[in-house]
Amino acid sequence: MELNFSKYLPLSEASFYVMAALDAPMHGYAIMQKVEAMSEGSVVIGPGTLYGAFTTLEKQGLIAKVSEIDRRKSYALTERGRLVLAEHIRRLAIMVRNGEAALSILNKGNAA
Amino acid sequence: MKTTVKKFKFFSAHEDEAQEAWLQDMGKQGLHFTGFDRVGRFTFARGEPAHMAYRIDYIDRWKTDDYSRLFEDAGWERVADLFGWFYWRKPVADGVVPEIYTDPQSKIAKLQRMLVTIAAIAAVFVFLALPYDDVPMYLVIALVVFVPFNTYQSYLLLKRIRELRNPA
Repeated sequence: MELNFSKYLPLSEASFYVMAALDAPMHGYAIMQKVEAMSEGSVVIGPGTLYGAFTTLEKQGLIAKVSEIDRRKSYALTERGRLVLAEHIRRLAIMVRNGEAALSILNKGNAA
Repeated sequence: MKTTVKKFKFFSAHEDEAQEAWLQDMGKQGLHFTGFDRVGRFTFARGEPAHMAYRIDYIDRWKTDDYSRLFEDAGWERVADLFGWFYWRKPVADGVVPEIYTDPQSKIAKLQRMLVTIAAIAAVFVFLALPYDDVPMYLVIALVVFVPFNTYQSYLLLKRIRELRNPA
């Protein structure tokens, strides 16, 4: 699949965590709880923000509705979503490498 | 003492936080928001003072079942909804007042949704009036009321959006 990643990246922190939480289909509130657990409490997504993220990600074709039970919509990552998530993580890994290298130089400078 | 209290109060579209703070304050005085019995008229039930968080959302779609379900699952109670504005309430625990929007982008997106609707209403009346040589009275009244008011509200929303985009 030829994807123009710049249309989708960078992902907001909320969108990234929603997509990363979808290793299996899940509904809204379950995703909210999972993201809080995954981020060790550092990322809490409010229901307004979460609903907005679902709307945007669904419109972009990165997630899709798989079922609706008892007024709860469950979503799954699409193939396009999986590729975009992988690319975002690839770029994040490069950023972390560069950031750690810069920090170690800065810290040495401070120590001197 | 009366058990139901009614108050008229006007808030501009961008004044969510002021409105939320006011409802929260009323709750601390024992007056709990129950809904609108008229546009702009808030009704309250008198009870024990309670520290409740009030949050206002704006949704521009017709089907809102899954939206409401998500908020309810997260512990929010729907107090009222009016023309796309939703009033949610949740008890305050440990002094932390819960938010429904937890990042600036989604907060801005909410204001943008309001802006589009408010501007569109004024635009619709202008377009309706265009083909007439002799504009009918109901349209004149609508134009005189909505065009200045909605334009001003749109300006205030744009200003607030700009403030949120560029925190000092």
